[in-house]
Amino acid sequence: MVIATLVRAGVAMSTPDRGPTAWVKLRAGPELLMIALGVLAFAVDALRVQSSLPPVPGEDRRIEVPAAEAPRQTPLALADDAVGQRGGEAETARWIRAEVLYREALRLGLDEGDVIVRRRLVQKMEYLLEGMSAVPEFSPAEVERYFHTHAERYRQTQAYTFTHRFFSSERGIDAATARAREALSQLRDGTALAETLGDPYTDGNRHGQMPAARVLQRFGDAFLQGLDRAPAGEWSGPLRSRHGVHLVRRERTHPSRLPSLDEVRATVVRDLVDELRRRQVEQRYGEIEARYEIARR
Amino acid sequence: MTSVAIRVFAVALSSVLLAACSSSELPQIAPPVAPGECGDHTPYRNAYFGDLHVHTAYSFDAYLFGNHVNDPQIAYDFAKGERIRLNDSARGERYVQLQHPLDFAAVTDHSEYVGEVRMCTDPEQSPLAYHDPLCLQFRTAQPGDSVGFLVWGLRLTRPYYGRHLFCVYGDCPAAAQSVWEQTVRVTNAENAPCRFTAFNGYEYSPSSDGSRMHRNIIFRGNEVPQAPVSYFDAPEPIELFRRLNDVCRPEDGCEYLSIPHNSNLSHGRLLWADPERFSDPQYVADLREISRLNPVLEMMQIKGASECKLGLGGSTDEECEFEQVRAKPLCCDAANGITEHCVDPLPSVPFRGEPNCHEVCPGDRPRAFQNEPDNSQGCLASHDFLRGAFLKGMAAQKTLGFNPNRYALIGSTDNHNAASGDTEEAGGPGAVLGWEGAHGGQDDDPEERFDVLTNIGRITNPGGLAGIWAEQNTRESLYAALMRGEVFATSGTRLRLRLFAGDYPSGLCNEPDERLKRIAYEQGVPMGGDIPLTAAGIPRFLVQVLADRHPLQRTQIVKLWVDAQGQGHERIFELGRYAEPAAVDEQCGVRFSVPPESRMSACHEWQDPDFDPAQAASYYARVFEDRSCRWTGHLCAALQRSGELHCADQPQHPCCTSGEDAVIKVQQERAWSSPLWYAPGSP
Repeated sequence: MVIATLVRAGVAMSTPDRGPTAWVKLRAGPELLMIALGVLAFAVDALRVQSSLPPVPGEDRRIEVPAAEAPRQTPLALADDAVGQRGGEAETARWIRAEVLYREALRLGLDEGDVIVRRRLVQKMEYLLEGMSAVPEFSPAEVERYFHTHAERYRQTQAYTFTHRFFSSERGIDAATARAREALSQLRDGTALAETLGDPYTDGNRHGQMPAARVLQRFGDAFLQGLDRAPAGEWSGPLRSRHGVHLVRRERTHPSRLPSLDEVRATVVRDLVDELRRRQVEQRYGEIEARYEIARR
Repeated sequence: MTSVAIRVFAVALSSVLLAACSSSELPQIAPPVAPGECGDHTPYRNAYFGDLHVHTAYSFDAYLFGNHVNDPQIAYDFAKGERIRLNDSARGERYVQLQHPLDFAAVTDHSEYVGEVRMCTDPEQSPLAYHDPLCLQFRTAQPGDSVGFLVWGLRLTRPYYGRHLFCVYGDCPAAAQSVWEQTVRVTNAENAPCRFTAFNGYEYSPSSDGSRMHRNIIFRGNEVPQAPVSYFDAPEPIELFRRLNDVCRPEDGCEYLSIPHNSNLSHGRLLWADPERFSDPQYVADLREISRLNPVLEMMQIKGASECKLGLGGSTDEECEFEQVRAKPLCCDAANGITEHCVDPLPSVPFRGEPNCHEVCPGDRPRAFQNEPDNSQGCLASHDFLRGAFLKGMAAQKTLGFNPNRYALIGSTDNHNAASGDTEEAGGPGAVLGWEGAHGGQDDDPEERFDVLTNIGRITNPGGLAGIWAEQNTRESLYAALMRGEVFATSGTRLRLRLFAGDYPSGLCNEPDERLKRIAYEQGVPMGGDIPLTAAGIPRFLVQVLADRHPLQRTQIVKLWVDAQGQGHERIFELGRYAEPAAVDEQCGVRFSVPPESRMSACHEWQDPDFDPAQAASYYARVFEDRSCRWTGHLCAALQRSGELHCADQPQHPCCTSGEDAVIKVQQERAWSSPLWYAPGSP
């Protein structure tokens, strides 16, 4: 199998599918060496994978230093290192040191009872289990049932539709607050229109159905509380945010509500699929567990 | 006209009604919204923040990093504010969550090997392929396994390597198509007009000789090709665009744009326009087509900023050192006073038909990465950074009549955990160690993250965000903004930045908000546009800034121009300096020199004192927040807080030393506007 793979690899890598120039190019640069290293690394690894028996601790004391053992590769390094990496003596020494200590640790049985090793292996198995599950099937009735059982999950939170005017605190919060108060009284007297008031604000100042959580994130707690209490349809304030001071006109509060299934069907289907997947994983796990005898003491 | 009249009437009517029922017990009436308009619609545009570069477990490298679980669905869940799980670390389970949800996102998995990944991870595709040693190795590799990267990564360095060998056992293209369909289905389902925009997209990833020439393809709507066009289908960019134009046609409702990124790692190739070929009509036509389809450059991301490089092209701007992953070429070190070799233009001798790699420091072989061994392919060119690219583009414009490097600017992450927009240095809610990294199980060990040899180490950063000025949060509106370039880049913060130029009266910043916005748009152009010739002859610039959480420190305009001798120049103007940088202590505590509330927003008017109507130029704004901890600073602080690190015992630890191995712990987050362009005789 390994040999077959290597032959396939060799054939594929040397196939001049872009004509003779490709092959010439291939021979010209350091690529050939790297391909050889790649094939070698691949072969070493294939051998490692093919041998289904785990290494017997304490027996195998020969360490083969792979030709291209390089520092850990990432996409950033990926092709640069793969093509140009020469590893260096220091890196090789570091690798050998790690391998020797790793082997010795296995030989001494240090992996047994080690929580970190155990957690890593468990995690790998979990990934394998998740990767093995196929897309589950379900009926419309199941979607409906799932939606009704988990309705609260789809609740839409309270939201606000409002506009605001901004007063910059460049010359202090007090000055901004005073100017906002004056503007508010002008608005109430009808001596000024909202369009003619407020300092330059870098962003838009009209918000439709902004969820309370987003108001909080964007403008802060004091603003949200003030907005919530603000009379509907008229200007009020001033309210403080971390950017400065605002006058607000709350048009409407949209109370928290449960949506209909049709409004959130896509999300519900997704959650149901997740749930079914989890069940598949549990089922596979159950099959594995059944192969063990669990003795509780 | 009619619709305006109706809206005015509706406003009047609603005011009357609202006045009539001001008590909250009575039914409340929302302000009128025209059909197709969102509640926050404004012709003066809102800022939306998002991430147009996110990888999931469907990307071969993300999988090799150990992200086997977080798929496109999880990427969107995360973008919308849900907590997601990363690979466990030796310390236990790891979760991440955004402090603030995003407004938009695009999952952009690598199109190369997307089918192979499916074959290797789904036994039902082909049992033979699934049990192929290569697939077995792929599934069980430890995060960052070097064999995995040799076998998978090396193949991206030459197009003719093509598909993996186990594809003889099954239909890799069909598998790729099914993964693409799945991603598209999820993306379309997650797109929620007015609340959250999800764009269909993918990454095209050529890496010839290790030169990154990657582009993200973003589709405007639901209509997409049957399968992505990959590097193996189209080794040259122009082939990519020709093939995409065939399978994604506007008349069928399919539109796309392309966003190149990591020009800083492209060894002079991504943004190269070869002056020696400007007499070849086909070459020029191809350049024009590429330019048309690539309106935006992702200039800030996990693998560094691509704004500029100290010394390169003669730059003396210290701020160019921000988030650099490339090592500084020694002979270009401005501090050593040796910059002349790095000045453009230098002879362009083609290197295997590619741009000349010797632009930097003839005789020296620059290293590819910080502290990495010398690499023969590691050349640096000034056009790997946007300033050099803009300058060469402006020089080319004199011959070509168009600028092949005219880009608007965005940031994004390139996160491989499906954690879209996870740019918070301190980490999200519940974070202990700060930012958790972006490479699966590879960056789960705090000590390894200080490493200078690995690329997941200290040189990475959490990445940037894309800011978009749009009327409302819908695909159509955001896409149009990307096309016209009214977008900006941030280093991950949500700083809002506007730049306009036009025939403006002075005193604009003293105008009321609404009036200022109207004048800004009616009498001038926003970022990304062409500066019109003004009646006064000298355009006036308007810069507006709104801080995120950290107060503002200063605002600048960077001007670039090419003189009559073909020599490029840069000059930086300071528009506002609100405070001297704050002092940041070992526990990331900040002591401001000026109270923050006085510098949370700013408005500046500016005129170029050297403005010459006969001289083409480009201008972009750059805004700095005050100092704060970089992710490394948060990590160092956390390790010390938890008692894992005592600097008294480990004075040589990167967190503790002030020597050469010291890690950068403090930074200034920032935003870059897209440029405004001026050309003599432009409309």
